[in-house]
Amino acid sequence: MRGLFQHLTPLAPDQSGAIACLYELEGLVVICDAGGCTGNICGFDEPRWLRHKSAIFSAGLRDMDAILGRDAQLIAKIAQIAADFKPKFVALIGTPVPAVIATDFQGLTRLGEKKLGLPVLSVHTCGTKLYDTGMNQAYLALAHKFLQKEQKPAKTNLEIHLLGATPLDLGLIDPCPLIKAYAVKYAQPKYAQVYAQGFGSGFATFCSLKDSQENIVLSPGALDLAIYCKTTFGTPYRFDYPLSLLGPYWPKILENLENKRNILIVHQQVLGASLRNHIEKTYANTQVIVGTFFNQCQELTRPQDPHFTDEASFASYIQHQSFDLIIADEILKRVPTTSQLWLDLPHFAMSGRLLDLSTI
Amino acid sequence: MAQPFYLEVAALSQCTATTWPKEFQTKSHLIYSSPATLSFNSPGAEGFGVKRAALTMPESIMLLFSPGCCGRNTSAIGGPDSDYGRRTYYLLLDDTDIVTGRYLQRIVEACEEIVTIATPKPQVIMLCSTCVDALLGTDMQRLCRDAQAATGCHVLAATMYALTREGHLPPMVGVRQTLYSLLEPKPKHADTANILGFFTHLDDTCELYTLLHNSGIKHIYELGRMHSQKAYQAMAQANFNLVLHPEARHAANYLYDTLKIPAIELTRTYQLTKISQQYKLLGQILQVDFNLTPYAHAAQELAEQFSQDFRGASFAVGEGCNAKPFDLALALLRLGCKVPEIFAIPQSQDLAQLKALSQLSPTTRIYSNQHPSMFFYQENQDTPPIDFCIGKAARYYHPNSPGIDFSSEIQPFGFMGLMDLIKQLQTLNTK
Repeated sequence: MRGLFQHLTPLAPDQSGAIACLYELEGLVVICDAGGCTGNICGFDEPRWLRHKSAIFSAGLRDMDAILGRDAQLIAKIAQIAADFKPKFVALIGTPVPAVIATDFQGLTRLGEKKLGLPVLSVHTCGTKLYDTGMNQAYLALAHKFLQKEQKPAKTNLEIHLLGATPLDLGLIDPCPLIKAYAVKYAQPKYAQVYAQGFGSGFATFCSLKDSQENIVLSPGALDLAIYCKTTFGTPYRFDYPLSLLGPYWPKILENLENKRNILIVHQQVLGASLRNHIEKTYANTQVIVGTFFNQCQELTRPQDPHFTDEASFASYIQHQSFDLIIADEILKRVPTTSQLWLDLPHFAMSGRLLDLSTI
Repeated sequence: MAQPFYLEVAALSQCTATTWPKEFQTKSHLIYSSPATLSFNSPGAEGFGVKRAALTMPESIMLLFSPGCCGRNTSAIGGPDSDYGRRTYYLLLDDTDIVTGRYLQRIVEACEEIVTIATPKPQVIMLCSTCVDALLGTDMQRLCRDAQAATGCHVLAATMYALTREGHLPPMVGVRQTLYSLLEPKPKHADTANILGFFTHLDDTCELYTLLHNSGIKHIYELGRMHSQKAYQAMAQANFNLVLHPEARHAANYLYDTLKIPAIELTRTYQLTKISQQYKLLGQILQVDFNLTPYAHAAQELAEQFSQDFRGASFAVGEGCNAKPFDLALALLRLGCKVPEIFAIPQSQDLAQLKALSQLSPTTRIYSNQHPSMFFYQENQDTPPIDFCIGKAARYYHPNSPGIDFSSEIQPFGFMGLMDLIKQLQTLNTK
């Protein structure tokens, strides 16, 4: 049945993706919810929460707030604490509650800017979409606010910016392996600096995105930002996911590729496509299909690549196909399959598991 | 740098319901996600929120119908090997579903499908709805009737309406009533009583069982010990209900209205004298003379040893434990300890305890776990030195001090609860 999940638990929603982008950008982030959505994020989808804090709060909406639409009261609550936090901006994050009552986020943003004297942006997430949609929305909201066309890029620094680096995509909390992987890959003399947007870097780095020489897209959730930078500042972009980031999972995958003719990868599409490129270069006769529950990027999608809209569509696909090897988060093994060999590749946005870099 | 907001208990105890500080009113500020807030905010992620609580119903499964975000954190408890994982199903709604309301029909169809695939076949389906349906005004009773007619199972509504948390029927109060709503009238048995309040059960060693047994109550039922609908129905035979958690008061009233089972409410306290007093009052109501001596004596002995070992030690007490922080603080103060900090949200109903606290320790600082300024809390020269912590919230703010969560799912109560607490604390001193 469409939308019925029997074996899987729900995937990371759009507001989790939005928060993942904003987490380290030194803003004051207010999730417009009754409390449960914030709990889902801080208690589950944002593994950085208990390691280093960020100014993320729940609006604590109550039934009468929703019925009466007390927008001014929400802004007053933010005003109470804004001075203490000295945020670079205020971000309002949507959830099902404002979606159902059709909150006027544009009006709320204007009201906020007037009362707070700070840049205010809103992300119109609604909880029914998936995390990468929320990432795209958050990145674009930031870009429209802080990366204006009139700002002249100073492309004198040799900079490469990594877009879409979040724990939801990478399964990492610590940005060091990511920076290291790219620093090695794009070593001097071509690029002098590698920045991962919002992952070990703050607001100033986001604003310097206009100066980037090239943007690397790590996740479909950052594609809209890459396109924005290309059209606004002429910054080229490409998709690339360094497979060394997979730590011990990568040699394990390599060990199991021999004599496999038909492989299915299920993950976020940039990682899946990077894996596919490597496998096809090494094993010319191997067919690799990259499926995903999340957004597909036109440039990476082949006709045979499936998009799974829910558990039923995945179950139906996998029951009618036979693969020599499946590389995917093992949470999907709960769905009955005929395929024999399965290699676990955690995807935090699915199972909530980080990559275990110490062992498999 | 900004400072976390706190009030000393002496100042707070002077406030009244009308002058209650706004910083302690959660509707007046944004909410900070401290560990205690997370337990509170995340139904199903930690402890017993609506989702886990509703599955306490024996032989039940749950269908959560909502946007994907509402069920996301259930991944934390919903592994394939977990009981909750096997018994929880999700019907995820998209924008069009919500706008058109077409999902209401699909809920009935989903229930029919689940009944055919679930093993063992469920006797009860808990339909869990969220803020979306609170706002849309979904007629849950009708939905349950339709699903019941289609499946032949009992179908009950478990409403996870976080928006109504401070309303007249908060979700955790409502779900407690729902859990007893399938009980059917039965002849009363004079030797039978129910314990209401928790979703698990009391520790087997709790003296309450023995005291009741000795006074002729041979059958003591708790929902957490009921594993079949047949066993569950025996709760309808109870001569009276013992209510051990205030959130079960509404359920007790419901049982009185529908099954004519009267209720007696007891409070979980860790103050030795209050435990004795409370049992004596219970004895008066039941017209029995409880022999408390062995339990009171053992607890007294242990408490005296604790007083010797911990006299003058400073405790931080917080939410996220099997105790009310203000009661726990009073108990510790009466055992000769100091309590410089309490991390909890005081309400005007707590005034009696706050006044008692202000007599014993007027400078104790009360911090609200949910106030945004708690973001800035850090141990420094301005915060009082802490030797030990009790509760998740206190441990979060004092990560370097030894402490205990004291948050087991099996519930402590009475003298044995106090002894359990002391024994756990004594392990800290040994360490």
